[in-house]
Amino acid sequence: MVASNKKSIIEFAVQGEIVPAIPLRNYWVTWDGKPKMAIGVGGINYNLKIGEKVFGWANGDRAEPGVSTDGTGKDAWILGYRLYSCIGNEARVLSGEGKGEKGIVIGKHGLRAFQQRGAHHVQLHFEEEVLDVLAIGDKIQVKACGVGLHIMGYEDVRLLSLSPNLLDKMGVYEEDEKLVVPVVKEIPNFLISQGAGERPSEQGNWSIQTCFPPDIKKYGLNELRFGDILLLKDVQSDYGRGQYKNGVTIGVVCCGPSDIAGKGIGATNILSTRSGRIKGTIDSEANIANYLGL
Amino acid sequence: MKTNRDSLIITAVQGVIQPPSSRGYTVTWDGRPKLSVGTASISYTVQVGDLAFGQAGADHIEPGVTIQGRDRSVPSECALAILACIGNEAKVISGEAKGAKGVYTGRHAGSDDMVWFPNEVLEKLALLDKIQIRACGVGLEIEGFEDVRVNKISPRLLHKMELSEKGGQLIVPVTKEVPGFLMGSGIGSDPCVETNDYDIQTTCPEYVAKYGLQEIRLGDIVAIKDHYCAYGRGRYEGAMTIGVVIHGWSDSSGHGPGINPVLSALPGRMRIKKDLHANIAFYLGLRKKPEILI
Repeated sequence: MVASNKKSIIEFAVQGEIVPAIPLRNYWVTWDGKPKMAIGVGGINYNLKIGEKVFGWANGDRAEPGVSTDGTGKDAWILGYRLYSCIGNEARVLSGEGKGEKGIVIGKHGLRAFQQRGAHHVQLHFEEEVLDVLAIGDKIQVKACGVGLHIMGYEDVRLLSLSPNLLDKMGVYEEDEKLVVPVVKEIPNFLISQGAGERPSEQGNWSIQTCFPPDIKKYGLNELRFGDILLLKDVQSDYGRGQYKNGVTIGVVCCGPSDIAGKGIGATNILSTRSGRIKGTIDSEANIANYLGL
Repeated sequence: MKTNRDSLIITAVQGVIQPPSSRGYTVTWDGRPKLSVGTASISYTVQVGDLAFGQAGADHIEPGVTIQGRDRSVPSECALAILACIGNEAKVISGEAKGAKGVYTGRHAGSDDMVWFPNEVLEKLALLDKIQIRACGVGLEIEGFEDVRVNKISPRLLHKMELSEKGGQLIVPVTKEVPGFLMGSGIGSDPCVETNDYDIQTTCPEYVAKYGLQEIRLGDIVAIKDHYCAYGRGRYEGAMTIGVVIHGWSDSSGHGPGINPVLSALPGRMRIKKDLHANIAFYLGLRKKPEILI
């Protein structure tokens, strides 16, 4: 565990609701010109769980594990919900049959969070018996905690969408003046795509392309699971996201693969640096399901 | 080279000259505030053929005149955005410059469509003047290369690009070849290649120097290696995409000069040859080709 300024982080409420599944009215077109009824974005996905493999789900395209939520009310409130919620924060159901039940933030998936047309979801994990009683439209309140978090001595390493709760449990340690982060896999930069150019970095995710089929086995993408911690090489997410030689971004797998050109497996960024002060160590158990006891 | 140009429909599409807007300070890739200029409006100082880099305060600089469709509430859903092709004839249909002719030079999704007019016409134009384009190019195919996706390019420009054929491959003159991993904002977005450009990232100093990105000019024809843009924009090892540079540099992470893909093919169907004069300003006679390139 590394020392952080967690004691000075403000914890406050943000509110949202469970959103419907959002298939397109028409077919998506895949990278090779085939129509696809793509499913999995939005809604309550009963059988997509944190810790499960991302591949193998029929018609899935960027499918999201758990319960998908978004902010409600004025545009600025919606943006607040999207930007301030952090992975590991506690969520509470405020309405409906599941009122009072608690869950946890497990990812953030989306683009253009500050535009109304941008689709952006904060994903929550709830226990099985709670999933059964939740409904689309149920109100959710998240204890947002993590904006402003930094690691002592590493103030140039940006922490994004990361709760003190998860940071303390991720097994990060110091070695040779670098932060060492246990990760399931290191992903080469040429696979990393959508998410570039998006800002602020506190919203949404990077994508790892799955539109060139030989990459999937070659780089072990077929082994990835929802919630896996990854190291994205030569990309930085400090103030917006972009390719950056020797940059490092640590991400949490938040959605599944895609057949659409340039889209792919989502990874919510939680640490970023241009300074070269993060490195990874391979650990096949580096998954938030293990760290957060899900 | 033969094409199906005689079977293409020519249809009128319309837009108005779009006033510039601002969101105040944005943040650069290295955490500096910036008040950006250069998108929308009538540019009296930047035209196709000029360098894409170097204008003070510029970000995503758009040459010439920027217009937006008004037939639907979202500009990227307007006929202008989808149907107009680079090289199509434009005409001013309202205001002091009524009747003046120009040339459509590309589309920057997020700000919108650009038109070249001679300098004397620029002086008479006013924001919100109506511009109508004779849109022609959707459905264009090259005989013998029907598998090469042709997009957003007028028959007139395609025939002037000095394409040739050898050994079953289409040979395309380009000013530069850019590695696919450098492609950022716009990658993976809506599969419709007609409406979305995507950016060559200029926010890593090491890559800028290595790939000579400061040499890029507005209107340049460039090659994107290992990218396939038939139905979207994304990675495909061995594929090749040819693009026209339609807007300028950026300091926002993941952004940079935008390109409209105009030709794209799977491995083995296209080859490039270097030509520093491969620029639509020269091909369309908007600028005189220099005898010696300075």
